This record gives sequence, structure tokens and C-alpha cells, in this order.
Amino acid sequence: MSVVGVDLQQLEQRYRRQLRWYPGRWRRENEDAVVGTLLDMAEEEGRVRPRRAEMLDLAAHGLGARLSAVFPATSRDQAASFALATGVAWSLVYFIVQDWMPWNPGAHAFALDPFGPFNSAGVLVTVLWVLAGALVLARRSTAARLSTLGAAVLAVVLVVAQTPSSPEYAVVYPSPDRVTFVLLAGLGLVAAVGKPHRKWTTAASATGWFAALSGALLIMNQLDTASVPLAAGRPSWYDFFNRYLWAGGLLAPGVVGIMIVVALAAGVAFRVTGDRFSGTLVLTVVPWAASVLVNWATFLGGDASAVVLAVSMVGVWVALSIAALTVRPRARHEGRPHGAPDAA
Amino acid sequence: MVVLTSLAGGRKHGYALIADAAELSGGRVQLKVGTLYAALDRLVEQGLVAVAGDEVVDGRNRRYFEVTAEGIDELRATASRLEANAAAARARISEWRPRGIAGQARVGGVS
Repeated sequence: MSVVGVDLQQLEQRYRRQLRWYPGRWRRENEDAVVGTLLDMAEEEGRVRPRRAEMLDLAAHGLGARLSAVFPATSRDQAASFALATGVAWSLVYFIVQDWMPWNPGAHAFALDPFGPFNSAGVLVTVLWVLAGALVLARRSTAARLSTLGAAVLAVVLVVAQTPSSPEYAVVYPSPDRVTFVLLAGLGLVAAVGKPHRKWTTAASATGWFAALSGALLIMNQLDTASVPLAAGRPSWYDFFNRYLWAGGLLAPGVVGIMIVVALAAGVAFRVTGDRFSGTLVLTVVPWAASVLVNWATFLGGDASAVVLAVSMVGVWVALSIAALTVRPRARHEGRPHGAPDAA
Repeated sequence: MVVLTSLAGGRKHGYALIADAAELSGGRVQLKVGTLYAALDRLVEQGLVAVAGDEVVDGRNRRYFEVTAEGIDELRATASRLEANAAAARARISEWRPRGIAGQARVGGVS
């Protein structure tokens, strides 16, 4: 074999090693064709070494193919659209009832970390969510994804900055609310992994969330005869989200935990029937799972039975998620020789 | 669009597509292999392109691709959109006249 032949053989081996960035199924279907094209390119350009740029390109697209194999683009886009709708509605309601409270201007004097005329810097997270919604309406999806990513990072920064200043969280109820902001951070990440749709379903989801959340909080407040006004002279309507949702309210950890189990079980059923909606459901529950865990850690941290319950619940979530992403569909779609990698 | 345009000229394998894309764009588009196959993945999934067989030439695998009828429809629609945009741009260009700087009046005979 000639020197050039040996060099080309080594080049082929390097290309094949680089293609390990791609999932196994994709490699089985496409590796030989891709290596053939890479060698054609190298031969035409008279080189026996790979270009750095093409190796980076293969690594980046290989990782993308791996992500698509677990969560196809359709699933990511659907989950991103729902996360965007949820995030816009939740951050707006939070802003109105906790950071702004136009009906209760006295609340500002009692805010632990006021931000200008508002009760906390959480208003900045709302601004980024509303901006993301407006950008999707303007068909600027990349900018919208950057905005939700910014909202997620800012939510985490605010929670982390707040933690040392208020260790007795369950007693003093600092703002921004920790569980809500972990939920918003998770929603921001999920909204950024796909391309949110500019569709009526997204707008309807946001409107539905806004109406349901505001309605639930108002009803809970009407029914609340025990805790209003609050102790220590604080104004009423000060901690809506904690009091009426997270701390034993409508969205107590057990309730949301079971809802996640139901959603993931539905995901397994979708998977069995060959429907890609299973990936959408798994991505959708991630922010809720994170908020449940923070809620558990905040209010039930020292309780041994709560820890056992939390660990068991997480085990069930993980098992169902793996099943929803990997179970072999009963009516499996036949893979095309060069189709996008199936979720299987 | 460059991949569909290239395949509209006949079925091609990966390297031929890259070379044709460069020629069609006057050298501006230099597709990398990973990028090309990611684009082909997406186009095949959308039904705009189909695999047209594999051949082994000099010990190398060559996979051929061809555009589908849906791909031609998509290409036609994109071309029409671009033509309409170009026509609008040309119309505006023909109407355009240079204007003096705002606030500056030209008075004859006064320098």
C-alpha cells in the first residue's frame, strides 16, 4: 500500500472516531456515506489530515443528533411552546399579586428586598418573559429563546442571592418566592431548547394559565378566614403563592408529585403507541419536578418521612421518564435510510 | 434552499452536492459535511428530499439524494417569494430620488 493510501486509511479512522459523537443508530445508517463524502472532500483538497473546523462541525451536529434522538425537534418545539405560555402567564400573575400589588401600596414598606417601586427584583424576570412572548409574536424565535434563557439565569441568581439573607424561609416569606422562581427558571430552560410556536394554541395556553391561576388565587383568598390579616402588622395579600399554592395549598408537593406521575404515565402510553408526544411530556414536567423538590426541601427539609417520600417519588419519576423515552413502540415507525433519528 | 436547488438539477451524492452548492452561490456557500447531512436529515424528514440509492465507488460509499415533488413545490414557492421581494425592491429603487440635507435650502444665485 502506498504512503498516500496509508495516510488516507488513517484519515478514515480519524473521521470514524469523530463520528462517535453521533448516536449509534444514526451511525449504523449513515456513517459509511458520511465518511465517503469526507474522504472525497479531503482527496479533492489534497490533504490527509482533517480540518479542525470540520471536526468541530461533526461534533456539534453529532451532539445535536443525540439530543434529537431522545427529544425529537417536534417534542422540543411543543414543550418550548407550552413552557413559554406557562412562563409568561405565571410571571405576569406573580408580578401583579406579589411584586406590584396596586391595591395594597403599603406592602412596599414591608418588602424585605424592595426594587424601586416594586417589592422585589423579580419584576425583571417578568420583563424578560413578556419580552420573550412579544418576540415570538414578532416571529423572532431565536431572540425569544435568548430572553427565556436570560429569565432562567436571572431567576436562579435571585434565588441564590436571596438564600443567605433569609434562612428561615418558611417563617419570613421573602420575595421573590423561591419555589415559583425555580419553576420559572425550569420553564425558561425548556422554552429555550425548542422553537416556541406562534400559534393560537400557545396564546390560548397563556390565557388559560393566567385565568386559572388568578382565579384560583382569588378563590383561595376569599375562602381564607384564618390568616388575613397577617401577623406582625404586615399587610394582607402579601404571600399569595406560598400561602395558597405551595405551602400545603393547591399545589402542595404531594399533589404536584402525583400530577407528574400521571403525566409521565400518559407519556409511557403515548410511547407504546409510537407517538412522539411522550418526549414533550417528559420535558414539560421537568420544571414542575424541580419546583416540587425545592418545595419539599423548604418546608419539609428536616422531616425523615418527607425525605423518604421525596426519594420514592423521584425514583418513580425517573423510572417513568426512562420508560417514556425508551420503551419500544408497539406500532413502530420504520426508519428511513437517511431519516432523522427516531426517538427509539 | 441551496440543497433543493442543487437537487432540482438531478440526483447527487454528498460531495457533488457540496461542490454544486459552492458553484451555485459563486463560492459564498461552503457547506461542511456535518452541516450538509443535518440539512439532509431535516429535508428527508419533511419529505422534500429522498434517498436515491447507495453505490460503492473505489471502495467508498456514495449515497445519492433526489428532490421529491413536494420539494419542487417548496422550491417553487420560495423562488416566487424571493421574486416578489426582488420586484418590490426594484420598484422602490426606481422611485427613489436623492434628497437634499434636511433644513438646507438651495437658493439660486446665492453661493
